[in-house]
Amino acid sequence: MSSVTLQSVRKTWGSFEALKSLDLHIPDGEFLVLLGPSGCGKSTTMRIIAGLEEVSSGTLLFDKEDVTRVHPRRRNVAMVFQNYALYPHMTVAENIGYPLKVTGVDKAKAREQVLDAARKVDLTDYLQRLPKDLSGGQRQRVALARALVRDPRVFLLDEPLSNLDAKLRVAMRAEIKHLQRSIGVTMIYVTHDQIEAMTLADRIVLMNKGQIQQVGTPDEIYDDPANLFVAGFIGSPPMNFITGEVADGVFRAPGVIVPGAPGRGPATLGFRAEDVTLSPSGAFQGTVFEVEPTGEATYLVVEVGGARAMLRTDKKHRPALGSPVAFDVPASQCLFFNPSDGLRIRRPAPHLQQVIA
Amino acid sequence: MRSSTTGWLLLAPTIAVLVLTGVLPFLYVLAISFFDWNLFAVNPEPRWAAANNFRRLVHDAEFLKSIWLTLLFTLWVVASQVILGFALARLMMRDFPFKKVFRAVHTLPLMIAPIAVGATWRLMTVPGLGPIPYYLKDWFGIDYRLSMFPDQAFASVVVMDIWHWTPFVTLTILAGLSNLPQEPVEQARIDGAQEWQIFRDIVLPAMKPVLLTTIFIRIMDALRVVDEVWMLTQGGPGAETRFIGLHIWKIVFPKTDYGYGSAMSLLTLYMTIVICWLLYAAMTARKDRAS
Repeated sequence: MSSVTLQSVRKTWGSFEALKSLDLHIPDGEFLVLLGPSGCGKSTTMRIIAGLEEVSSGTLLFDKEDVTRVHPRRRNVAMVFQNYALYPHMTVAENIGYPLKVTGVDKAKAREQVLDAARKVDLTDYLQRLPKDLSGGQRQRVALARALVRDPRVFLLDEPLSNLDAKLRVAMRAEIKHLQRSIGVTMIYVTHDQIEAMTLADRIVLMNKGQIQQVGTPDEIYDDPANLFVAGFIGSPPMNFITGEVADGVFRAPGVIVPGAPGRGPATLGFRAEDVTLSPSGAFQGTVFEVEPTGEATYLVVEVGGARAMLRTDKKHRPALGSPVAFDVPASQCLFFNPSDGLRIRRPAPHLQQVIA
Repeated sequence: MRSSTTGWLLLAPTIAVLVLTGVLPFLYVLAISFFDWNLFAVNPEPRWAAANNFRRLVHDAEFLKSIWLTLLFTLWVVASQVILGFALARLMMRDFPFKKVFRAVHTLPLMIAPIAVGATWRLMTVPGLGPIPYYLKDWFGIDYRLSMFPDQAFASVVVMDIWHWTPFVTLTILAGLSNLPQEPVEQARIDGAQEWQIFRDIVLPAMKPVLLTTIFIRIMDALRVVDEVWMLTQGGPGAETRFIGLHIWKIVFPKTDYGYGSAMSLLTLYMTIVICWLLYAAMTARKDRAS
């Protein structure tokens, strides 16, 4: 087990820049999730750590050891591919034991280790089966066991749950997290699913277009997004945005007046659906566009300030379509962004004044 | 009921053609093999001979020799072509300068008719005219004369066939290799496998169906080779490159011994089936034992 450090790692294919100077340190034993939309460079980052892609420039360290040019065979990383990449002509036992076989581990000892790994993922009854005779979840577990069998320095998982059905995905999510905690291995997990990222990660690295957008704990990323992309990517429903103008510390858009805004000039106001409280004298005035009951709550799609926003309301709340709606958002939950570069405009000092109409 | 009738109607033209061109001639040959029939004999009518033709085969030293030569030829060419073809296909999976040109030129022999291949090679091997005897003498001091030395004739036929058919093997294997999923290979690399272990444990097993098909096609072709060899050596010197196809041709046409020729053809067919079946059994048995 070891820490992983990427220093100014770049990756280009011809003129396409897949990774633009990436700097990242992953301490020993951390569960790190690389999150982002497809094509953001998260898989490339993982393949570089595994050694399946060479860096165009930059350095990769495991602990203090430079492994930038080390062959994947000698890196001692374990990886689980999205489609599991099981060896189709080998039984479950042979699949799990393959890393031991090729590195010349004594046969009796290897058998013991295979059994041990199979026990960890509850596969002991299936050791003599071929992958084609297993269900999706069982195949997934074979891939996990094969990664577990040889005590790797780093554990890499590339969208390991995306081929499973929703129910199994939730169950496997818990199993993977539990596994990581119990063996304490450094785990790097790639996904485009923000729920997976939020539930699993010690820290999330949110990427877009080959660049890191923000690194932080799930709470930090959710509560304190660094820019519009992060704010819009994390959360379900995503954060609501209203564009307007800040003058003399007041944000204004049609039907919206929010005091206590930082900076001046054009700004984008962001707030989350769950931070809303309905109040007839609210600072936000809009009309109900659509009503979406989900069982646990009712979401209102509201036209406000020239945009549409989602509001989370009581499950019993069913306003008429087109009826006026007014609501408030606590000042601390109102985030402001610069619409031209997307960066957060922060308040100079904590300002917890309640929003009043 | 109706859909089944429609199905048969749609299949009918194909079945008719197959019966006319495949099944009937086969039955005809099967029937003739039980007759003595020689158009230029004293008695040109077919006469019932029961299993005499087949009995004759077993003691026919010339025929047995031609079988032995054919098997030897097949073993040499198929083994060489599969090994060479695999190597070339692996090479073409990589990028190198002028790859497209190389691939096109490499495929050229495939497009040449066998008879033209034979003629070309004959021109290249004629003593005093062809480049092959000239350079063999010049560089290695080898006296190369196809019509005198059986080993040279046999080797030349083998090399010609390899030259002609390796591109076919390369192309089928290349198709198989490009369809191979990359993840298991990458997984094996991460799992710590050396390149040769990846080849042995991952690539080769995954390529087995493609390899089997290719080998079958090449075995069947090699067992019935006629035209190229006829152009190059006429089966000589003596009968040293007279493979089964050539031998049957000599019996059926110059000697007009139709019944005996048919019996030989049937035995050859039977032999081909048995060889392919044994090979299939051998190659699939290995998998069963593993699991």
